Parts: sequence; structure tokens; C-alpha cells
Amino acid sequence: MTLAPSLLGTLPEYPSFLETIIYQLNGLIIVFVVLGSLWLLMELIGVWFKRRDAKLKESKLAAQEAKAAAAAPVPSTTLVPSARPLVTGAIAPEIIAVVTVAVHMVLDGRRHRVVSVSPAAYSGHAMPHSSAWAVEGRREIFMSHRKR
Amino acid sequence: MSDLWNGFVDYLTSTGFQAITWKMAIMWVVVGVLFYLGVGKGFEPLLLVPIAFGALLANLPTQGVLTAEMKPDGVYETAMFKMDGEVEHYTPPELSVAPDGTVTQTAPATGTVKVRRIEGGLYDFISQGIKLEIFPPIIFLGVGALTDFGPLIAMPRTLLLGAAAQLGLFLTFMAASMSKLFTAKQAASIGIIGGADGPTSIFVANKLAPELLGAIAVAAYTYMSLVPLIQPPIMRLLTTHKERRIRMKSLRKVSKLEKLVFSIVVMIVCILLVPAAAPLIAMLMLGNFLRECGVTERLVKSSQNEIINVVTIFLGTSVGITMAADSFLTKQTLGIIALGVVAFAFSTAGGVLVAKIMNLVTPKNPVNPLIGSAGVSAVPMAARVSQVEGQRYDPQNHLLMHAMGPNVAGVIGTAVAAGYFISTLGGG
Repeated sequence: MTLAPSLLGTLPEYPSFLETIIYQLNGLIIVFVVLGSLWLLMELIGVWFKRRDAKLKESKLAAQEAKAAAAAPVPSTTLVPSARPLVTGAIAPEIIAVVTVAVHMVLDGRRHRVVSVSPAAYSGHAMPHSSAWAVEGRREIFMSHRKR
Repeated sequence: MSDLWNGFVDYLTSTGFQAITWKMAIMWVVVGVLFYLGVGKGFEPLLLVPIAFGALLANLPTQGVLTAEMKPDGVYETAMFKMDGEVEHYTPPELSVAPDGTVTQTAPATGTVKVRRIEGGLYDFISQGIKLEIFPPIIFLGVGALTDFGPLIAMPRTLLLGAAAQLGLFLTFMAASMSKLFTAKQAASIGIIGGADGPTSIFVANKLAPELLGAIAVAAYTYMSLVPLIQPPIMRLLTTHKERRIRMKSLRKVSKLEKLVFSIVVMIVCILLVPAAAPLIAMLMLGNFLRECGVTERLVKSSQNEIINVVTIFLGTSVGITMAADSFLTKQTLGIIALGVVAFAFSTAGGVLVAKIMNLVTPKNPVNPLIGSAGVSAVPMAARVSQVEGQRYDPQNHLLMHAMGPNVAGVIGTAVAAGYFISTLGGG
């Protein structure tokens, strides 16, 4: 693995130019070999994990589909008339339709009803567009939770 | 009247004023600069402030703080304490004499040392944490508990950028060695500054060149704090406008199990290939395993907060206290300060250049070369520099998470390089 094993541990106190070159090449090669091996190992492990995750996802989907099929006919999404107004702001009906469909898709056949739709409230420093990173961070946090 | 005067003079001679030297006064200026950088400018204050405070203590005529001695060979030895005791049940060694007159020892001397009293200053004991190489690995425990290796696991090829950023270490080793100002061991300790990893620099310096510990630690932490100033010009010099605008693919989500496997695999591989790096890598991965396993919340919180904070105070002050004027105000210190910048510059360049080479090999899935500079392990400052530089040329390009990959790979790379230096130069 090393260029000059005899050099290991025998580098003089004040090495010559050539000795220094060989020594540092040796060191760089070792660092690259160690981190390169880790790269290859992690790629291999990553492939296994990707396949495993894909299989898990597939089996989960299949189980959900089977469950949905076995259950009573799922009522379509209903907009329930209630004392509270469904829309608290001036939101176009198309947006409400899109939100409703999105909820339906995410909940994947489970019983649900949309009670109200309102614009996201931003307070103080968390104004939209003020910090793309804050929004990205929030998105990541949301994505890390299991959807119910 | 003369008795009163003599008494006053006697008192004055017992104070510390007469022990003040001009060298100490110069060191007070150095301490002032460190305080300014740490407190005034907010550069790495968590370490620069304790280091500066320790340095101030080292340059005051204190008593009961530290025992230090300048040896005839110029080595400034600190943190020594005296033990008074007696040997009990002593049995002398058994010797046998061969017919030709050769004397060989057949059994060693045995006995018990009963310690009655241990005498030393406060930092003679606290500094044992550095002397016995306890503090740097404990800092690594905290670093591991604070680090998310997810971006590196999602894009393992960035490990190569972490390796490439060690270029500066070896080039600086060569520069220091060729200057003839430093021995090979000292040159290796100086080279490690290029890894931008304070605890590793201290770990290696303590093993190979303890006489340079103060200067190396100060250079390492000062330059780490100056990463946002040192790196950008080099990054711009080595990349084109088009390269700086490269957008990278989103990182995949990494599962908990994969993160656990990663910490175990990295630890085993590194220890098998470079055993001398074991204390650092093992503690780093222990901290990370605790973090990722999800069932040791209290331990993780302690590692991330109390443990690392307490040790940081003691590590910083113990390093600072080695900066006595006699050992610090030397030609070597100036050399270390100069070589530290060289190390940083070449490490940055190494990462950027290897990122460009990777793009030649895999043009369909390019990496933004700006993340290469994050291979120096100043976590997460170097990654933030990549992010800021990337956004300068494309405000919608978020490189932070991509840059965290090489950034944490740099921590592993520097630990491996440290292991190489220690194992080959006989520091163990």
C-alpha cells in the first residue's frame, strides 16, 4: 500500500528533499486509500439500502392498497358545510380544489374531510421570501415526519 | 524610619512586580490581539478566549498555577508535579553471571511506591488532559455528537474531496522540513494546521512536538477563524464563472440504520488501516453513534453541551498556559504562523482542484468545485464559505448541504493524516 515501507519510522530528523517527497506522497496515498475505501464501501452499502428502501416502500404501498380495497367504499372527499366558513381568506376555488386533492392523495384513501382552508400565517421575522433557508429548513422538518 | 523603609522594600521584593520581564510585556500585546480577535471580532471565541486567558496567566508571575522549566536543549516543559513517597517491599533485580562474564537480568526489581503527597499548581493537573491526550478525543466525542454525516453518506464520493484537502498538510510538511528550522516531527505538527482541525492539531503537536504546542494551537484556531477570508480568493482563482454556477442534484434521504452502519464501518476501516488514529476516530464515531441511535438522548445532550464545553475551557486554557514568553517569542513561532497560511491555502486548493478533476471523470453528474474547499475540516465554517460563494454567483444555488459532505470527510481525512504522522514518526 505504501511506496517505501522501509521509510516508515526511519525518517531522519532533517530529511533530504527526496525523502520528504517520498514521505509526503506516501502519506497522501494512504489518506486517499483510506477515504477511497470508505467511498467504495459506502457506495456498496448505499446501493443495498436504496434497494431495501424501495422494497419497503413498495410493500407498504401494496399493503395500503389492499387495506383500502378491503375497507368499505371510501367516500370521496367532502367539503362539509359548517358553522365556520371553509375559506377564511379570499382563496380561489381552484386552489381549494388543488388543496383538497393534495390532502386526498397524501392520506391515500383514509377517511378525511377538509374543514377549512386558510392562507399560511407568517409572523415577525418569518415572512415569506425573507429567508429561503428558513423555508427550506421547515420543508425538511416536515418531510422528516411520517405522514398520517 | 529605616526599619519601616526596609520592611516596605522587603514587601516589594516579595510581590510579582520584580518578576515582570520585557518579554512578558510583549506577550501581553499578543494576548490583547487574541482577545481582540476572539471578543471584538467574534473569531472562534470559544477557543481563542480561553487560550488568550491562559496565555495571560502564563505571562504573569503566578504562584501555584503552573510549574514550568526551560530545559538545556531549549524544550520548555510544563505541567510537571512532584510526588513524595517511599518504596516499600523492595526486591532487587535478580542477575545471573555467565561463565564469559556476561551479566543478564533474570527477574526485574519489584516494590510498591507509597505516595504520601503530590505537589503542583492548578494547571499542572488540569494540563494532564492534554499531556495524557484525553482532551482532544473528548472534544471529538462532542464533535461526533454534533455532526450529521447524512450529506456525506448520501454522496460518498465527496470523501475524495476530504482526502484531497489534506494536500496542504503534506506540502507544508515539506516546506517546514526543507526550511531546516524544524525537525521532521515538528514539521508534521505544523502541517496538521492545514487540516483546520484544532483538536487534531493539538493531539499531534502534543505527541510529536510538545514544545510547539502553544504556537501551533494558536495558529490553527486563528486561521480556522479566518477561513472566510483565506479561502474565497483561492476558490475564485481556481474556478471559472460557469463552474461556480453548477447546480448539484438533491441529496437522497439517508435512513437511521444507514447512519449507524456508517459510523461503525468508518471506525473499523480507519482503525484497521491507520491504528494510530484510533483515539480520535473512535471517539468521533462513538459520539455520532450515540446521536444517531436515538435511544441515548441524555448522553447525546451531555456530549453536545456540558462535556464538550467543560473540556473546551480546560483545553483552551491549558494550551494558552504553554505560551510563556520564553517559549513563544522565537523564530519558530513566526515560521509556524507563516506556514499555517500556506497549509490552509494548499488544502483549499487541493479540494477545489480534485472537484474539477471529478467533473472531468463524471461530467453527467458534476460537483460544484466550490464545495471542494470545504474539505478542510473547519466544520461548519468552511461549508458556509462554499454556500456564500456559490450564492454570490447564483442566488438560488444552495450548496450548504452538499458542502457538508466534504467538510465532515475532512475531519476523517485529517484524523487519518494525523495517524500517519504519528505512526511513521514514532510519536506513540
